[in-house]
Amino acid sequence: MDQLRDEFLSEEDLDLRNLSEDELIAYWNLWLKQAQATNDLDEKDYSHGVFETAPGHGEYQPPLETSRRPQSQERTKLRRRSGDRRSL
Amino acid sequence: MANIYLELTEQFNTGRLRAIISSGQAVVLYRLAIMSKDGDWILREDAETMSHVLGVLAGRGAHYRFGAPLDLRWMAGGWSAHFEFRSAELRVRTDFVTRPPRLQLDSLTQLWETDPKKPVLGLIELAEIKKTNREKDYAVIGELARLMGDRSEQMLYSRSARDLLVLTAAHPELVNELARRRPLLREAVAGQARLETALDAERRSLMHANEQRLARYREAAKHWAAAWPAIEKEINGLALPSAHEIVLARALELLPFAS
Repeated sequence: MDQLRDEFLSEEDLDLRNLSEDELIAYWNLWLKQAQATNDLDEKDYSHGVFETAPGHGEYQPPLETSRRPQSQERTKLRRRSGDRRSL
Repeated sequence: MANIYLELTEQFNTGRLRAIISSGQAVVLYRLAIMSKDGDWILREDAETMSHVLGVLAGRGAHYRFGAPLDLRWMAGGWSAHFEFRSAELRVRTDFVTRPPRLQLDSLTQLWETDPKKPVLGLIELAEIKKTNREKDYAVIGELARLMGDRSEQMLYSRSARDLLVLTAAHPELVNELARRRPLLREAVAGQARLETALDAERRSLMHANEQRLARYREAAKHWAAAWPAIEKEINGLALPSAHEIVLARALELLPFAS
C-alpha cells in the first residue's frame, strides 16, 4: 500500500477493534444512553427500511446529527474500569 | 454484560434462527463505528417468525410506529415494519425487513445457514445494504471492504482509489472479469484521479438509485400515510396483539402488498 491511505472513519471509531468484548458493550451502551438526548429531534425519523419519515412531519429537513459521541476520556475510563482486553 | 440489541436478537432466535442483525448494529459488531440508535434485523420470511417476533415485542410492551404490518404479505413486497418501546432509560426502536434492498433471493436463502451463535449479516451483504442515499454509509462500505478476505470482493467493494490501484496492479487478471460487474475498475489504468472521479460518480449513481427506490414506496404508501394519524390514535394504549389486528385490517384496505 502507499504511505498515504484513504481514510473513511475516525481513529476513534476504528479503535473499537482494540476493545475487549466487555469494553465494547459498555461503550456501546454508553453511546446509546447519551444518544437519547436527541430523541425529541428524531421522533419522526427513520434510519432503516422504506419509510423516511412519519406522516405529519411536514417538509423535508436535513437529517440532524443524531447523537453526541461519548468523550474519549469516558471511553478510557470504561477501559480502565473493565480491566480485560478484547477477547476476539 | 448486557446490551439491548444483543438481548433482543437472542430472544428473536430462541429455539431457531429467525433474525439476523443488520445495518448499524452489525457495523458495531464488526467494530467499525457506532452510528445508529436503532436496531435493524432481517427476518426469516415465514409465519412462525412473524408470530414469534411479535410475541417478543409484545412482551417488551412495544407499539407500532408508522410502517407496514409485520406480516408476510407486505414483508415479501419489500416493505419494512417498525416498533418502539422503552427499556430503562432507552427509547428502543426495532426495524424489520425480510427482503432487504439489493440482496438477491439466493443470498437471502443462504442467510439462514449463518452460525446461530453469530447472527450478524455478512460483510458483502452488509456492504450491499449500505448502498443507501446517505453519504456516511459509503465510508462504512470503504472500511467493510478492507475487512473482506477475498481480493475479488475487495475490488468489487473498495471505496478507496489508492487501495484499488494497488489491488488492480497486483491482480490484473481479475480486472476484466470484475469490470463487468464494476465498470469503474477499467479506470484504474488511467490513474488515481480518474479512479477517484469514477468512485464519486458511482456513489452518486447508487444514491440516486436508492432515492428512486424509496420514492416508489413513498408513492405506494401515500394513502396509508394519510390514514396513519387516525390509525395511530385507534391503537394508542392497546397491547401489541390487538393493535396488530387493527393495523392489519386497515393495511389491507390502504397499503398494497408490493410498491
